[in-house]
Amino acid sequence: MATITMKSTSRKLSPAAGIAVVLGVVGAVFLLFLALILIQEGWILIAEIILALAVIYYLKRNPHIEATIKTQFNLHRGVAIMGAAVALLIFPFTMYENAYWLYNVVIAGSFIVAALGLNLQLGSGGMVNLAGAAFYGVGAYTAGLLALSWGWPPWLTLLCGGLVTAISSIFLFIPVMKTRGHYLALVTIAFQFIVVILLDNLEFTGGPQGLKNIPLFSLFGYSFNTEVELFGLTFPTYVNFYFLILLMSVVTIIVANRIYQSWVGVTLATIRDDEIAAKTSGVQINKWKLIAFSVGNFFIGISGAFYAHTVGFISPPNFVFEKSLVMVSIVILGGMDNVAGVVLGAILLILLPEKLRFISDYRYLIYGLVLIVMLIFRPKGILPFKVRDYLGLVSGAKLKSTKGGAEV
Amino acid sequence: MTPTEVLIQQLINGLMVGILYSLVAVGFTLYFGVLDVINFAHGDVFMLGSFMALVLFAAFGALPYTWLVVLLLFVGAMILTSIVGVVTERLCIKPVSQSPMLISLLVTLGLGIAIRESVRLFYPRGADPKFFPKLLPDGGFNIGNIFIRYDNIIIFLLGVGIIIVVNLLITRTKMGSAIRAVAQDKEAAKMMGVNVDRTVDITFIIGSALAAMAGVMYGFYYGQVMFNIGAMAGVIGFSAAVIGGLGNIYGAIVGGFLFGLIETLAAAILPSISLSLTSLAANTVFAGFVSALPLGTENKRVIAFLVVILFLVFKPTGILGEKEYERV
Amino acid sequence: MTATTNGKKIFWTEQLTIKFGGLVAVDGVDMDVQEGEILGLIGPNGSGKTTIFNMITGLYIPTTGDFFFDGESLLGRQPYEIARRGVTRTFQSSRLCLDLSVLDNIFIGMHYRQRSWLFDAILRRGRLATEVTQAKRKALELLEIFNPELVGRAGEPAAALPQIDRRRVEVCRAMAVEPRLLLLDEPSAGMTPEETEELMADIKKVQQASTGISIIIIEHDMKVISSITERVVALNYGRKIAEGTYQKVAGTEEVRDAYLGKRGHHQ
Repeated sequence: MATITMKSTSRKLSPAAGIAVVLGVVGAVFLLFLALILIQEGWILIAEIILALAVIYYLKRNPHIEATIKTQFNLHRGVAIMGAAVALLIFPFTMYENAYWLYNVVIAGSFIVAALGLNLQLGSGGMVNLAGAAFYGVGAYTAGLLALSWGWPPWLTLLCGGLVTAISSIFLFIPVMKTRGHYLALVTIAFQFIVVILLDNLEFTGGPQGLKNIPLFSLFGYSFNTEVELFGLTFPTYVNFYFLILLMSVVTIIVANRIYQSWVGVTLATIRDDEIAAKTSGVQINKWKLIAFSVGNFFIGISGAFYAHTVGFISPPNFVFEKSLVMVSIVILGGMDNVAGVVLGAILLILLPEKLRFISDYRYLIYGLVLIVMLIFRPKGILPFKVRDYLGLVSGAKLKSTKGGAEV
Repeated sequence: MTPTEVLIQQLINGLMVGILYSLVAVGFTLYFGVLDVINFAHGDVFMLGSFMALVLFAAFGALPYTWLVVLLLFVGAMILTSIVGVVTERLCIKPVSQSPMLISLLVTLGLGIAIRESVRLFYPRGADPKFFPKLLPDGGFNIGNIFIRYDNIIIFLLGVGIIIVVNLLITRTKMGSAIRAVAQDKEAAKMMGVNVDRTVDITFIIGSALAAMAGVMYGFYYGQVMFNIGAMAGVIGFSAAVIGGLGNIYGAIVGGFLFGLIETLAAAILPSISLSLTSLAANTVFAGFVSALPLGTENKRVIAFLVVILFLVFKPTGILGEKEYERV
Repeated sequence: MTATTNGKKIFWTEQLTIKFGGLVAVDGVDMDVQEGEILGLIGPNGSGKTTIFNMITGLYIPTTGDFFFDGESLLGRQPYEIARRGVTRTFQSSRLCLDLSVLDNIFIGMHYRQRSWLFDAILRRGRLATEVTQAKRKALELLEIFNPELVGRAGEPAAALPQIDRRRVEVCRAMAVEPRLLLLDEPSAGMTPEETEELMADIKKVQQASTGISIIIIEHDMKVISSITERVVALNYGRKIAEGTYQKVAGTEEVRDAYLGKRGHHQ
């Protein structure tokens, strides 16, 4: 039986050299990221943008180098992951006097989880959810209310936040399941406004003041709100929250990727790209849309609950329509149905406006322009487009012949 | 006032709001009909119209005759906004009009944000509410206990007038038939020699002009405008178009009035419902529950939206029927 | 042209009718397909052929009338139910998901037989791996039947393929569902004469690959119809106007009028 082949122009490297390349790239990215955050002055951003463009240009001109790097990453995947893990683990400790930035990174992390949930709906399934912030708020308020009124521990409320959001979204979705896509957009917008108005007006949600003094995360008595002391240095309390959201993000990324690289992923993609073709090939459209919508909202809700127990104080202005649009632009920037892209998009769109304080006022304008420009010129997102490979089962690089033909 | 009189007073308010919503809704329905596009920037075009009027007033407000200034504000705002409408259509919407509707929907979403934020950032002190010149005659007259404002009548008549004009345009002119042809079957229209691009441009001119007019009316009626009135107006306009059946102009008008009436009636009735429910539940176990219910007048919009959602459940193609979208 | 049928009717319609507003697109059509046969469906543009396909596959709901597959009425059934019962189709303007890989496009035909879904995707990768590997093998086998070159390109996005190969992938997708009735809607549209020859060979291969499969083919190219179909049904203005072998139908005056002269459209 024939095999699927892939052109390869990469150079061969010895294992040691290969590992060095992989670690070098990971290390360089980490250091650049750190520099971006730690150096206050604006020139660093410009310098890094120029550097990034230069690197992209250089790689395009020398495709064998790009191919070599990619192959080495494939060969030494374990090393790459370990390197990234080390970088991620030491990162919070580099934020020694920088509680502000650590906080931003934590928030970006919660948006990674939420955006991946939205990506399942919008990117994978083609369902327009313009109530991302409202669902985020449902999760946050569920967690906050359960903790404040009934004293439930944050871990339980986290789960409940996700579940309540998912279940409420089912009720929202069922009426419009059989209608066209733009009805869902309308219904989610209506839901978004209704939720904010209700949160603002209902007494038990605290009205415009919201909920205060929500207990923060704690583990066996160790409150996350304590500063971390290591080697005689005192690190900001956010270090604790960082590790939690790191764990949550990593789990979400793995889950999202596995869903994408599976029958679920290809089914949703077909529903998104051509419902009629899907229907006549035996796909039960409504069932899968419902699943994608509710599972996506589960993640959005859980990240909202995380937010509640991290910041301790939530109020309606946190969950307005504009925030939903931010979430949508993250998915668009990252590329619809592109897990890595969405992660990158969340980091960029949440952290960059903080970095550029002087344009922070323009951030919503920038979000809007991002939407327009990306969709017109690069709807597949900032990262290069890759077809589904079922985690290596189908790609050229890993394919072996079963009939004695040539392979790569 | 007798209950009937209260009802009629509310109906009049409802009609006023309804005309504004209708004008915006017609734009939505036209865009869907002609280009298969859900234009989420349309509400912000409405807002832009009112701000254009402000700019024009700053320039020409000193002119001697009030009626002249009013005319200028309306016509000027409509022209300027139409230009913005067509330009953005060519730049942002046309490139994605062949892509799936999801993409164009999101592009217009971004466009709306861009317009809204541009006004907020670049108009002097754009984030603050702005006073709109009070140029329409003050006061009104009474029929029994019902008070009818002069500006109500003017705005209503203007609105009805422009709707009739647009209707004539669509049904009696060559350009109107072109619009209807493209809306029904773009390919066939092209083969008949219709200049589709120009027809789309004209559709956007009409839609933007109507929205701008509504924006100016809004300014005159409420006395103040703000950069964010477009978001809600867009959502409501879209809902109204959907209620009436997307692609159907009469539907949009019906939908607009319906939404306005529901909203106003809800605002009127809610306090009495709240009052009666509270007294019914007093001293019972339900008292706490009732006091937590969202029955304040600020929730009139919630009621209206809930009606919209319910409506979609039972009649998703709208009152007058949506145009058929996909060919197999 | 071989007789591969056994005379058993696997599919038939009873007075199938659909009206769109005032327009009667399909008017009281009675037709049937025997197991294993290739039936041609011809008629001028707008005579209702694709509309019949749309009804049979559940995309449109007939106004009146009924249709039966394997003895069971499919009226009112959802498209996915009909597909899973063994009726699949291709489209006039090919509906592939162009951003997805060729393999993904074929996979969707097999998806409903798979067992590993959300839970397995996230936690039990082994079972998913087995299913994907098997599905991949089947998909590549299907591709090989039509064009062995495609096998090497299975990992590419469908957009990279030329039109004729896209048609083939669409047929593979329909075949992946393991249908017993395959509906082909103008498969030769836009093809060169050489490609049309290949197409006719392809359809023969379909018959061989899937014993007992019945095919209805809508075509304007009479060469295709005359060479591969055993029977032909001709429509005009939504009504059946002739039925029988190609020679008989082509010789019918009404059919000739419909295509060439007085009341129909030109070919």
